[in-house]
Amino acid sequence: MYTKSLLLIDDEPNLASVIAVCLESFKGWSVRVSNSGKEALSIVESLQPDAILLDVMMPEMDGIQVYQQLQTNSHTQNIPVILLTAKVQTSDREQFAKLGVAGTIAKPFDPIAIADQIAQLLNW
Amino acid sequence: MTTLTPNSNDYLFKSIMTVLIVDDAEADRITYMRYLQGDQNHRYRFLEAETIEEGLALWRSQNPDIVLLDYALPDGDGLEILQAMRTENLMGKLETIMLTGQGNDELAVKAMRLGAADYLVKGELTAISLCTRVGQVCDRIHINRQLKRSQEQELLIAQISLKIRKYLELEDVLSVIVQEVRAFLNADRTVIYQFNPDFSGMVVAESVLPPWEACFHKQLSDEHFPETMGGAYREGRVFVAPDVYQANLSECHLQLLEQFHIRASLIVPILQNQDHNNRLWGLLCAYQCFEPRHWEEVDIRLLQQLSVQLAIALQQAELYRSLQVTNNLLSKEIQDRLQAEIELLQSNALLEMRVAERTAALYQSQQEFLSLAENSPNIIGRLDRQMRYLYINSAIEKLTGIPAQAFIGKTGREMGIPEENLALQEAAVTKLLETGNSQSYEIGYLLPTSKEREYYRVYIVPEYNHDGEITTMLIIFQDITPNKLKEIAVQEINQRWQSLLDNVRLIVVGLTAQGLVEYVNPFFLEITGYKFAEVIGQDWFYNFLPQIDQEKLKQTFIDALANDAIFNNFPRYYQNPIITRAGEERMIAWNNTPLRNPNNKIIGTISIGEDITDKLKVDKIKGEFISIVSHELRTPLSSIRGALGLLASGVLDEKPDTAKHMLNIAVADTERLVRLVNDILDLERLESSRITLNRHWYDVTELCEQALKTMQTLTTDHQIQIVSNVPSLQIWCDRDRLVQTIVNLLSNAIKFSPPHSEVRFDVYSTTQDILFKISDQGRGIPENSLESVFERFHQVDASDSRQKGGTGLGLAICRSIIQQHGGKIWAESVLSQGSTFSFTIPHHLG
Repeated sequence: MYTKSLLLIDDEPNLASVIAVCLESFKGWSVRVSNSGKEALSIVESLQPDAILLDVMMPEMDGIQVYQQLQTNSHTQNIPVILLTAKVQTSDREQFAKLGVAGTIAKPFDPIAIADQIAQLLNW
Repeated sequence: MTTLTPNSNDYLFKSIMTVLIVDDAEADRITYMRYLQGDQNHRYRFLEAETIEEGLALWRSQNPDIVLLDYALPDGDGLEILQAMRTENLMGKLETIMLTGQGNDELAVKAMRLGAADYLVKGELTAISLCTRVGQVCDRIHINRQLKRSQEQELLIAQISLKIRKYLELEDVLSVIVQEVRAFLNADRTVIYQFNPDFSGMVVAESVLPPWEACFHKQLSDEHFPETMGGAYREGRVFVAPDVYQANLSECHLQLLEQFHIRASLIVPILQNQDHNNRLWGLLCAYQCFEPRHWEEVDIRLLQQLSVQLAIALQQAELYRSLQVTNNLLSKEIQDRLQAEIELLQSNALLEMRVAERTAALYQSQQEFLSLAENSPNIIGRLDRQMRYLYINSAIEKLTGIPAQAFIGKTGREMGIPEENLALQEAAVTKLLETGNSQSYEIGYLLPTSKEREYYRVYIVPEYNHDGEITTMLIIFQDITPNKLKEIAVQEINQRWQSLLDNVRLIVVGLTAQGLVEYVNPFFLEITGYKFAEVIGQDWFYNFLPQIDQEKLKQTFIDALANDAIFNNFPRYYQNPIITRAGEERMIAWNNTPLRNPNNKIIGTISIGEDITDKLKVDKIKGEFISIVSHELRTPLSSIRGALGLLASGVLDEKPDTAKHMLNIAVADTERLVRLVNDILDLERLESSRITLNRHWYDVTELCEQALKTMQTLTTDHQIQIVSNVPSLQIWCDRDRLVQTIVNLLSNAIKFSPPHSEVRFDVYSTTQDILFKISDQGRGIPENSLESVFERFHQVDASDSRQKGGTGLGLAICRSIIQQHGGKIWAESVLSQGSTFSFTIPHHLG
């Protein structure tokens, strides 16, 4: 049986672990966790996930930079990206929408409900 | 004396004697005449009479010089004639020779008694005796005549001299001389001839007998005269010509003389003594017309003497003329003076009249001025140079309570005027006397009665005399109390405003309608670092605003001020940055107010600005902090919630390892959350100074040991060795806080050190403080982060806080603790070699 594969990029290892367990446990999606944008970019092309969950606030390279890098590569630019962000103001949302992301999920999120949110955003 | 004597003939020098022979015998008469004509020494002319009657008639009519008188005559004897002649000629001597018969001595005596000059005896008469006797009488007559003439000449000269002195005009003198001389010499013509400088000349005086033609004022010239320069005349020589035809004269000279029928001439020069030289002025000439003439010695001398007199007269005339000129001048001057005196008198009279009028007018005017002065509300006075009052109006009484009259002749000091006022007055008077300029100053005067202070502006005005010297001064006290009180009130208000503007912690900027800076307050200068002079007059927009705003704001400003309608829409409140002298941008919140002139036209603006740069920065920091804090809090909360949710949902019931992992995550993040909350609260308390340090004396060694003990687990976990060198020192500090700081720095050093490396911990005592140094051999800190590591959540790497278990607030807490102790904290680092964190705690001096 084919399951959805996701790449979760977040510098918070504990939170990333919890989300990954949630998605695997409730939806059966396989989740690859990366704690830095740099590392994620190095594996995403070969990984070819069905979707990317991307934390915006990260050291060194933030989520926006990672997204822009993904858009420059024809092998990654079509992978839908969902941003995980604490910036939930309208202006921020508009800015993110302009970028062309598939959706944003505001922090703090309910780990139990996040899987459904993702499925809804990606029409899965 | 030299006499010119051309061709002298003796006969010309002897006069012909007229002899009257009275004898009735013709033969005798002829004999006598023959005898006498034979005389070589005398010349005779004869008259003959035969009777007494004939003889007397001839004697009377012909006036003979000598009478030869026979005694026996047909009509009587000779004595009768003598008698008659004596009767008729009492004054003169009868030059009569009586011819008597032989031996009649008695008759001879009678004749001599009757005045006969001599007698001859007829019978003894010879040619020699007759000639001798007649010749003797002749000579005597001649001598007598010469004597007489000489006397007459002396008289004439005396008379002429007198006349010369009588007549001052030269023409009169010359006229007298020629007349007298001609008469005396019995000459036909006498002239005075005056030379011109070129020795031409003119007859300037003449006396001439008719019918001879006058030559007065005729220009006569002798062509030789210029050549000889007057020749011998210049040496004073006389020209004597009894007959001009025998005088060896030139033809032209003779022609000239012939023109006037001149036959004999006698000419003497008239010489003027000038500067010890003789100048030939002219000639004095006597002429005889038609016949030669013998010029007597006395005549020559007369003319010579007259020429001397003439010279005197000339000199005198010249003196007179110059005197006359002087006199004329003098009289003119006297005339002028008289005229001037008259004019002066007239003008004096006029002046006196005017003075009288003016005096009246002045009196009138003085009364008016006095009335003005007396009724003036101002105090008006006059001072002399010693500042004594010569006059003061009654207004002074209101001020001082002393009647004006009491001030006269007194100084202000004598009248008890306060010293502070007198000092001003004296200074003003001194300056006035130095410069000649009016002075003014202000005084305050405490009224003696009401004890209220009045204010006066005092004017001191110089008054000059005719010599331009300051003799007196007007002093005027103008009451300016109402104005002064207003002025003081205004000043107080101004001072208040000024003080407000000077001290307010707001920017105040005044601009002209053109946008030029008219005013800035000290706070503006403090904020911008400019000097007052660098700002005033500068264009506000182009000098003090960021370039990007300049054009737009200036145009908006100009438009708004030009048009009230626009100005009404002009934002009164807005924010825009200004640029400081150092180029820093400061954000200012402005409040603008238009300045209007009395015609309600906008002439500029006054803007009050608040520097909100720091506030904005704080707001931004606060915003960032909240953002970070919320992120830092939400992240562990999310994991805890997620982990617990999974566990609660039961999906992990079959996966006990995962469930355990989730549980551990929840526990760890809960701890992290607790630390974070603690640190946030701790820092907040420290920075808000709501915490007071509990300071005592402690030993540094003891404190450090406590800190090192806390580190034991960590050092073991990280395999780090701490090398410490801590001397025993007394330190005045809050023990727990200092230990907290040391622990924080040591734990950072341990966490960032590679395994098996060393952390050094050294404490030194310096002159001013105790220095703590903690060094690691870790990756180091970039230079641009050495400062910011002490700020909240400013880890070099944000992930460090998660990885190293920190909250991102440790160093901020350390800095706050050290600063509260009065010390400093800083970091030094070399990338890849390690970092050293140092802090100081000052020695406590008791």
